[in-house]
Amino acid sequence: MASLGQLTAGIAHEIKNPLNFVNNFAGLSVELLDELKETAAPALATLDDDKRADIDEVVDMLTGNLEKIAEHGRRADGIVKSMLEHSRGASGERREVDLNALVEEALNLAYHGARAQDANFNITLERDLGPAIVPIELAPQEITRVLLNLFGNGFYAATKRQRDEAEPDFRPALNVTTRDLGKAVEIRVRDNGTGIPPEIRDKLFQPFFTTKPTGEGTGLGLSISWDIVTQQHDGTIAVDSRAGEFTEFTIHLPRRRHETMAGKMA
Amino acid sequence: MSFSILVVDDEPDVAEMFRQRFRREARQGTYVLHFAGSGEEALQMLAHEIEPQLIVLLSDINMPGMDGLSLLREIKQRRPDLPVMMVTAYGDDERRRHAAEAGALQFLTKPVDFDFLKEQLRQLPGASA
Repeated sequence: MASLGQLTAGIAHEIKNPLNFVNNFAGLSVELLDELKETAAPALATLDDDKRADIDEVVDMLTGNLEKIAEHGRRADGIVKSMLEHSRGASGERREVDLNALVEEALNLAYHGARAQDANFNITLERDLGPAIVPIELAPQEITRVLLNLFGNGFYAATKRQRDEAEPDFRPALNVTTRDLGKAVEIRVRDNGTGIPPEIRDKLFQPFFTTKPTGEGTGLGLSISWDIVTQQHDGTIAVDSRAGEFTEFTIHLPRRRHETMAGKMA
Repeated sequence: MSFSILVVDDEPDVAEMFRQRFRREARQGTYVLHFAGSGEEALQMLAHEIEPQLIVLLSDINMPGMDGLSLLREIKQRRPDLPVMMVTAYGDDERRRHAAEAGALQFLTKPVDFDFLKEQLRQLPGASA
């Protein structure tokens, strides 16, 4: 897992080139078929109705197939792009940040992002942000990505439970807690969504594992988060859940040694 | 008025893709496409006159033998006025910076946005002549 970043970058680049050709030639062929239809129109008009309908149907099916090739190619391209983003993240720049401000910002970003995708999206956001958290050195962009992933998953699970409509009074909610533990900080992200069945819990952090419908999730969010927290920050990420009730992710990010020493001396 | 474009890429299907993407322009005689499969081949072609007037060279970066950035530097020695655009799947900042420092006019990432490329071609100084 340590070299997941390098491995994915290598694979992604190898796949990207042939995939570009697939997408490009599929798009081109749709254009060529349009041209063919235009050019052949006068000749087709002279045919009897049955033959013309037959030819039209085949051309439409060909166009449809090419559009499907292009569509699935774009899907694959999306996966390749997330893989590349993941590998690029390894050089995330570190600086001292106010953890609560970082969490607030990510929460706003996630919420407005979800609203932008679906105007009907709504969820109760509960914040329990620990007071006086000493600034911590971390890679803010990377941790923001982790938070966006967790918030996004939480939104998805909570609103899915609502969409399933078994409980008319159900209100989706997401709770974020932060605590200063001295040598580390703790972030908890809890949603009251569909929960994670025990049998898939140990697959959660595997690359490409997803419970979302085909095309909606890349299955990279949590594996990337795992990498960022454990590999880049020497932290831990744990999950607790009960199916049909809640899911809670707990992240511990240790302070770097020289920081805690400085803290003791002060 | 007709102009030449030289595309350098070690993948032969790139030539086919450009031919199809520029089918209309080629038929109307706006552009004539030329292809080289390596940096060395591109330099050989540049040693002779390319007809009609060559207004731009598009080059891949990762190629066996002479890579695109070396080709770019070589061209800037021999023909400093010839605009060169780099076309690559690797859109990282380092390559971008190297290309800009060596005098590349544009840095395009694959998959190529052909509408954008055609717009760039129309804005080339040679093309308005």
